[in-house]
Amino acid sequence: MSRKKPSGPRMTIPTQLVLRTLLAEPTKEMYGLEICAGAGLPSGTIHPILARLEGLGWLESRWEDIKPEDEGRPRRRYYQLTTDGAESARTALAQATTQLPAILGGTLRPALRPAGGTA
Amino acid sequence: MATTVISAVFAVMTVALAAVGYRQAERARRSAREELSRRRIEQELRLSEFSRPLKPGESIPPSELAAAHNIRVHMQVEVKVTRPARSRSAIGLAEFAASVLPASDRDRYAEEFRAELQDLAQSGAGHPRQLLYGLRQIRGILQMRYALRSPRRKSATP
Repeated sequence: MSRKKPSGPRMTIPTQLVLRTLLAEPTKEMYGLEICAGAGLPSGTIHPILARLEGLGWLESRWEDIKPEDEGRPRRRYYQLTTDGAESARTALAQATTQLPAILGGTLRPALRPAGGTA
Repeated sequence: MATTVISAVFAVMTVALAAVGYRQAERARRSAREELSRRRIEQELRLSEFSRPLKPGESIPPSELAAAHNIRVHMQVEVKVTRPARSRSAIGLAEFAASVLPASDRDRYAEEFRAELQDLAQSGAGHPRQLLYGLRQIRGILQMRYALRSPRRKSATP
């Protein structure tokens, strides 16, 4: 008897927080620190998650459209959910076995709370 | 047992020293910001002296033009001086973290980390917070390397 492999990422708490942040405004492009601030996670945590989601095709990213020499700073990398990714993320969050409010004791910001949640 | 106690004491002392250093740096930054905003207001008031409307055919007297130019240059220099610098050690840590990644992704993430350090510096984050950023990248880098090398990975653009 073989167990079916899940097609999405492991829905850890940080992954759920990142997805909820991105889903709060699915059409908005966000850069790493913005996502960190939105999800309330430290910066080292989100890049592996973003890499995994991007690898799965849930996210797409692009460089900021500036000339670093003119601006005197490096370009930011902007992330956005793909249409399919947003759909998959919603489904995955709804099916996630680890529910955020139960673990975080209802301390989530309203934008990150699941729809119909009790937090 | 003794080693554990010594290590614990050492760790507590390190944290306490770091906290004291951070508070002092934060206080210095705050007073520098206040001083800068006070000077900016003064300079803007002085600049406004030059903003009288010109009569038709009248040119700005060279002395006034030179004075306005000096004030502008002075302001730019001050802004540059008081803007928190990017921590070189933090950049080194972030670049080290990026070097652990697969070759195809190295440059992309090195630039991304540098951009985030720049954003941190511009938002007023001092040396300790930038160092913390670099250390956190190192902490999560093996996980990221694994994610980037995963066979399930489709088409992330480098």
